[in-house]
Amino acid sequence: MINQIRADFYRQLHTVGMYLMLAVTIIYALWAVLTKSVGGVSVSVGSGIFTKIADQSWTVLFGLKAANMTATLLLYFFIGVFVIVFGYEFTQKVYKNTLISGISRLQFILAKYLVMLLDLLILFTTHFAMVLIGGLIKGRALGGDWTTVFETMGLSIVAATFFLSVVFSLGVFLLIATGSMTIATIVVVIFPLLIEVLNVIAQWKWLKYFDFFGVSQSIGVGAMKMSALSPYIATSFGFLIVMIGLSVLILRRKEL
Amino acid sequence: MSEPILTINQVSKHFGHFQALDHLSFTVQRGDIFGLIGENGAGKTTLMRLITGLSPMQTGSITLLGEKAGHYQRALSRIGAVIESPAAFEKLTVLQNLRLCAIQHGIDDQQVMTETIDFVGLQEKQRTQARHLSLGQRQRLGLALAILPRPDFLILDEPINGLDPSGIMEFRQLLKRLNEERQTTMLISSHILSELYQVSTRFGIIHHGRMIKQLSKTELDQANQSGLSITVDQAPLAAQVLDHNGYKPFDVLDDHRLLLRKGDVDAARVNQLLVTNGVLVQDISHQTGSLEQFYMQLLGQTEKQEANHD
Repeated sequence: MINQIRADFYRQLHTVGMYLMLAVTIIYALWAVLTKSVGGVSVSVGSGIFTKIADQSWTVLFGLKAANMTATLLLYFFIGVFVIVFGYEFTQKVYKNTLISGISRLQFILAKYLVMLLDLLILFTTHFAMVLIGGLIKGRALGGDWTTVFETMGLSIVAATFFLSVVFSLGVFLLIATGSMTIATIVVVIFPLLIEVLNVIAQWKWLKYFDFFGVSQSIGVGAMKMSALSPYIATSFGFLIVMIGLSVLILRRKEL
Repeated sequence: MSEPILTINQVSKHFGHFQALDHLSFTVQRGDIFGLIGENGAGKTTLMRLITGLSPMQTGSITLLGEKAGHYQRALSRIGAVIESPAAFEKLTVLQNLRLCAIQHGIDDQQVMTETIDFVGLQEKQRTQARHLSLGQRQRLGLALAILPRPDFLILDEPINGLDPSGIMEFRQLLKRLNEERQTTMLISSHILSELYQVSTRFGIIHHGRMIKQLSKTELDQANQSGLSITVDQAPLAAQVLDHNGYKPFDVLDDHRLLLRKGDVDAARVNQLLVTNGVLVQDISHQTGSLEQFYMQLLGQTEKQEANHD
């Protein structure tokens, strides 16, 4: 499994798309923080709040919290991670070579998921680091002590990485189940919007547990108490385990 | 002493109502180049996909390098395979694809990659992206990826498909070298009989998912000799007459046809002998042996047997 992870990172080092995503992340983060542009996708946050945030006086800490909103839009860039890590392997049928190399189906999916997780971690770290640097370049006040700034940043990075990887796990399942990269990508992209629309139409209270971006934002901005977090974390882990488990099961039973 | 590398035991596989493999059994011994012959749709690729775990087992058992299919722990890491078409990352170069494969197998030795590229003759293309390779070069890259980890057993599905005549000759030499220099055991499928004949040491003929004949190269050569083809009303009686008059060896192909395996026999004399002994001769002619003829004859017999069973 370690060898598979190493192989995937080697491939990514030679993939232009990864560098493009990194460049877009840096430019987007700097642009958002320097121009105080905020936007995002969420069930729990109304669109009016974005204007409200933009109109406020920004500190470095506030910029980091606001960046949690903008981070939800990064889904549309970071879908590239999913395409490069999983998509290429399946569309170019190279998974046959990988699976014949002796790796188990579970190891294969876990290795790929971990690579995706690490990629997202690197990209979100870059995003929030750029927001921090952008705030400092602008000469804004820190808004708290350095410990608070780094805690907020750390929590935001971990939350955004984990919850986006949960959404991508749905893409992994769909890709393996349908064999279609298009279906998997479209569903991943519309998933947050779908949750939002369903929430408006059906008003199901339990739907909030599947609003992974909303949870990520709430954690990042410090709007959610740690004591209230457990059902959200449990739902996310449950969802992740089910998606990975089903993917492994299908991969074992499917004609490849 | 022979050592089984691959044992296929009563393996069946169906897709809906289509029976792709039907109680197939055979063994590949260490050092063999086992040629799997069969028409398109005979079940060759399905079998290879079962062996490599790309297709789930239904009934029967497969033992690969001492491990049972479905519970392979290490066996797969000791084989190399190119199933259907060779797969590689399109935007990576030949060298990068090999490096990736080396990392997957935990190989850090640069020398192994260089040797592999040299072996398959892709030195000049090592910095070319896979998507810019010709079909023949892609086949070579597929082979390179399969042999990089120095496998004990190599599975190649229609490896010469799409190659030009010189490419076929070179590929044949590569396979022979692999077998002779690295003692790699191989299972190769093809519907091009003459090519398999050139490289294989044993043959298995698959038809409608069943193994209808297994034979060594020597046995194939014997079965494939030229001779006098005779069509009569009663083959058993004709056989008696020929045997009694010292016309040997011969094969009774079915109820009406015999093949007298003597190239220099006088057809007129044989005709006269049969007729005078009460055998009605419908046709008599000299035939030159060919693999295709042998194969078609075998298929004809099998289909006739199948029809009789029905």
